[in-house]
Amino acid sequence: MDALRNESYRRGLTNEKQAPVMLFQKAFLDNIRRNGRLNEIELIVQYKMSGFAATRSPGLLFKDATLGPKLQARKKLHLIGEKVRDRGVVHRIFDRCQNGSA
Amino acid sequence: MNLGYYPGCALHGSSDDYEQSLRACFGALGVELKEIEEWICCGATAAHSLNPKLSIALPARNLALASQAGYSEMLAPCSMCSMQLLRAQKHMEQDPALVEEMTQIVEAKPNGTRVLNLIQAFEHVGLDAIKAAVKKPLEDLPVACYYGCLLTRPPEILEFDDCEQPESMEAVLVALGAKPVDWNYKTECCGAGMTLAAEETVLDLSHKILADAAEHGAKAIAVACPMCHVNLDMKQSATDAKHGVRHQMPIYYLSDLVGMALGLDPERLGVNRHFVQRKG
Repeated sequence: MDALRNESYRRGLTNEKQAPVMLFQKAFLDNIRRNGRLNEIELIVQYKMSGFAATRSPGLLFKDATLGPKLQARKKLHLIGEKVRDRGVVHRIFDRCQNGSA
Repeated sequence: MNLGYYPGCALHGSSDDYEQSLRACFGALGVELKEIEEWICCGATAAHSLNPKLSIALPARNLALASQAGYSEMLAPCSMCSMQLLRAQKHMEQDPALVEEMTQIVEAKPNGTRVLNLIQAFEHVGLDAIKAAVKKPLEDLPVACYYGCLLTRPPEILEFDDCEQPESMEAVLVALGAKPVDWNYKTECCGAGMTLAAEETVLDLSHKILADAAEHGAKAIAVACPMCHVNLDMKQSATDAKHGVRHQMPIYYLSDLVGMALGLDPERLGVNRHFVQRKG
């Protein structure tokens, strides 16, 4: 399954229905490359912006907007995400894996 | 007792109620969780979907950091993280050349730290010891144990419990005095990390899980994964709205239930931070 996903991504053959999933996963890895750890707010912003650029759907931008205050009330919203101190090693790991072959 | 601890991103993000629960619960059992310094993301679904080498390298870096810090065992309480760590370990065990390659890529040598999921961490403490420490048996709470996909599958990687009919979480609950219910959806998928990108799928899968648990008499569901908790708890009102039902099913981390049976205040475990609260 993963092999087929890898190949379809490599060839740019993602179908329209799966496009949001691919945008999300790409935003996820970009986020990890930058920070070493996931920054949820940054991920959501990047995913929604790239999704909006691809679909021009305003609904995507505002979807789940009401969830923010509910998360905040439960102290689950962290505006400042974590970063590892040595982000250089994270960048180098990503660079060395760039070709993606197993 | 000290136990190596790989929290993973979710437990330092919006699922930090899970970390609160773990620290309180294991603290009460005399276990201190020692976080692996400078741990990085395991890569999760994104890495193994888009870049297979990265999906080995990111966990390999964490395994190397854990072994450098001297931990023979490490708790990875997110089932995605524990699967990713074990998967990398399994690939490297089967291919010495891959160990050398990963040592170059991640700038440290991954050695054999044993990765434990949450259930295994409780087994490591000892179910008899937990049973002996119970102060408030959970006799009045029928619980459905939900394993999801990644606690037991893929079985050739996880080598944990029966991949179709697991019973290890039930064994923990029995030690707490609870009566786990028999039900059909304990290893079905909830949609995992696709909450944002494929919400409709998550709501449909979660509805089936919540409905089956209720039909079999459960008044709560126990989970051992932050993603399962998000989909079943945080998204429960959206699931209800889509399917025209009102489940009102509290979702507990397994450590919440152990902690409450040990006599800890639910607030200390972070239970008050869940979206769905137990009525009555």
